[in-house]
Amino acid sequence: MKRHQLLAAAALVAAVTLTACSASDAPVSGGGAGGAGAAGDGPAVDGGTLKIGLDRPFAKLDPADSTLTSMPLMVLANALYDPLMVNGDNGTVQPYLAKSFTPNADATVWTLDLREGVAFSDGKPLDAQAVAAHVARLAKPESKCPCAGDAAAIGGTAVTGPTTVTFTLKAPDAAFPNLFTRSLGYISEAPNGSSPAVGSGPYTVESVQPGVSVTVTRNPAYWGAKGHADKIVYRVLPDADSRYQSLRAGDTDLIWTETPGQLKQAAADGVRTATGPGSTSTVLFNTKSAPFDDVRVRQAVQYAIDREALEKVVFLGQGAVSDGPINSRSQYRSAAAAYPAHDAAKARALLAEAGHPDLAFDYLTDSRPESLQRATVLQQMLGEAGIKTTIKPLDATSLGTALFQRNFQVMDFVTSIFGDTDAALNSLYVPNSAYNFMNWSDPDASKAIAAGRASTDLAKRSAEYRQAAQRIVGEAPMAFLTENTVGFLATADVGGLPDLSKRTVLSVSPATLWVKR
Amino acid sequence: MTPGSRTVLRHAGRTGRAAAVLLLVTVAALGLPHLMPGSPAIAALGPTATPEQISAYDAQLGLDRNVFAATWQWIGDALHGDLGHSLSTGAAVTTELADRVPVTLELFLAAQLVALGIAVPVALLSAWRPGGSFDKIATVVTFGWLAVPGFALGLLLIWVAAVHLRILPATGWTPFTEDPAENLRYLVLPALTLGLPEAAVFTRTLRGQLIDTLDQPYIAAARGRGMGTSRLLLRRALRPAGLPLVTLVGIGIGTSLGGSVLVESLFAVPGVGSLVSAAIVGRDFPVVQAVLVVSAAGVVAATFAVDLLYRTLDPRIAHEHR
Repeated sequence: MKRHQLLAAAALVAAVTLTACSASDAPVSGGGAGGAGAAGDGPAVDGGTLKIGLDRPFAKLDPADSTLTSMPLMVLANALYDPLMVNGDNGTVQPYLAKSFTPNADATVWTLDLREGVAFSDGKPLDAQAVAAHVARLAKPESKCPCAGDAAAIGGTAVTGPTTVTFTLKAPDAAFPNLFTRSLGYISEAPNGSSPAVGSGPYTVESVQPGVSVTVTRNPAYWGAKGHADKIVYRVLPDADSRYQSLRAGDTDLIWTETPGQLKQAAADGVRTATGPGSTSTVLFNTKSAPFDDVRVRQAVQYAIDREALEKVVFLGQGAVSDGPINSRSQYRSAAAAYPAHDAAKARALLAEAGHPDLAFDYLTDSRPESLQRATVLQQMLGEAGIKTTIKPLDATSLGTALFQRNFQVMDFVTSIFGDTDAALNSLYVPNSAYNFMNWSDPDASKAIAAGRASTDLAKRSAEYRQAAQRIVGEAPMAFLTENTVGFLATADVGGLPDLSKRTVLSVSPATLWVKR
Repeated sequence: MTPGSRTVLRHAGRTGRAAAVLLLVTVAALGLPHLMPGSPAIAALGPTATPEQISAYDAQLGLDRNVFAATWQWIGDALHGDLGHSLSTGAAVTTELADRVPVTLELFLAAQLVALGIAVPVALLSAWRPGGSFDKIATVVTFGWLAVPGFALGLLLIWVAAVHLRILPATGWTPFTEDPAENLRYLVLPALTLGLPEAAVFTRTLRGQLIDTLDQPYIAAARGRGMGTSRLLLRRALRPAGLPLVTLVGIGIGTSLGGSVLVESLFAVPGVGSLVSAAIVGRDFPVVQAVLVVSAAGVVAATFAVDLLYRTLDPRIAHEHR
């Protein structure tokens, strides 16, 4: 599946207040998330051209496009579009275009109050009507926006004032504003043909060659803090190695990486980093396919996996082990969750008890080098517990079809959805969800998730979510492996890199970045 | 039958074979979505896709018709300049190709220049003293080049020229029409990456041909008449020995497209290779299909041209067919 397709953001409490000034955090003042840090940033430098290397081609400059709003490309989307809400530390969201986003007592009606005096870059007002039109456009299936599924939760949208919109939901959702950090929140005018959708962001499109490059220039009429760089040139550099070398050669100022080797090498090469735990590696079990309909078999696989060793081998100590659906930086965590420790003997015992002492299965994965490396290490670990696996690398189409049609027994699954705990729990683990790939259903977990989602009290919601997480780890519809460090690498010339180490969704606005040239 | 009518028949037969090849490639390209495992629509649209969306997607790919009907319609549209529309960008494939083909063509020509610029002098010097010191060194180096994978060579060149020496850009592209000097700077590394392995192949081929040619009696006769070494090599030996290179360059159009997929992605060159590479990853079948057919047409045209060139360069072939 598209790894970043499902995401929205983190949580929100009741009423939120106006705090943010740019669609990203303030720059780091110290060591940053790793590497050289921002201690040498000095004063911000205005002017010049910032060159950013993208890891994947964008199809359309339209918030409906799932690639444009994927985490690595949010550094482009944030240049052109302002989100209603913006991701903060620990999975929280804060208002950006919104002044406030307030629920009623049972979180079924939400009132959005917009900033006043905001205009699209073509001068048209960005008001309540524009918000309603944007949400209605993306909610239609023909928009092909994955967010149409999120928008389906909205029962009614009413413009109740020049800058006020009221959303009536079909079911209580205390984390409703989380849906407005990306596609649904990047308020835009409908695109005309193949031309970009117009937004209200700090930059406007100067030229674009789809799949190749886009150049943006500072929006002179921007309502907020102006971008530092006069111009930003985004180039698609799909090859991870040449992207990194391009950075080292000075052709590019900033790139996205998910490669552990590059993160490890960055400090030695004088490359600055801004990273966070942006993705999670897991193993999916089809709980309707024997023998994985037996919880003991799934638990045996859990016990057979040494997550610490896996992290060290595949992620070179750059990441951390994952212990469940609540991200280690999430506001819903209170302490490390209990997770079955590696115990090959216990795995063998469980398999014998379940009547599958010679368990064998196909392990479906994509064919990227890191995926195959992970599959190979898992194969060896499972082999030590007497489990025989056959690694089946598939092309993206076949893997996507197998996933969406639930035509698999065990599958490698790397996702960024756990950056938003609410979205992850409500998408992956509730019955009848299109994203419940494991075919898993557990009344206790469903009840806890629903109760958490309906509660505007953070403490209560956290307790419910932790209870659901315990059920998920205990019943093992998926095995959690590692939390993977991903993020940005930059040359020493780049200033204003935010500290992303506490983020679960790594959203950066290029307006806060400058280049000393 | 008169010589003129034989020529007409020969050309008609060749054109017919070329048309058959193109038709087969078109059927195969249009059959791709039918043959591929998994459902392109489900994989592309995700688990929330409605049946209407899946049907519309299938219709766009021609999956609602048999492959021959889809091919027939595609050919009809293509003859009117319509190669379909990209599923990801919505842009006309014809427009995308028009932007990208000149870039790949420039890269191909530059790579051939690199390959020939290295191969001809090295092969001449090697063949003049086979087994000599220069020949031994050239043999080791050319076999070494052949063993280096393209992506590794590209990364090595980036590391040396862009990261270490900082004399050339690592990635990117400037069109020739925008700034010829900058265009040349961006062209050097990808052209070397594509051209150096070809130079090794060309060198080995030309060296062998030259050694055989230099053994011919007419060369001994020329030598006996006191013809100088350079004149002998360049005027008498190179032309007949170089004929296989014409074939290699012609065939190279097809293999270069394969190589350009890797090289253009590595160096972020906006040519046909990077277009088709992204299209394959994004399951953009209309783009992949159009690139396949257009490439096949390019290879067929090149083979045709090589055939004609052979007749000009080697009068014996034209004579044999009279």
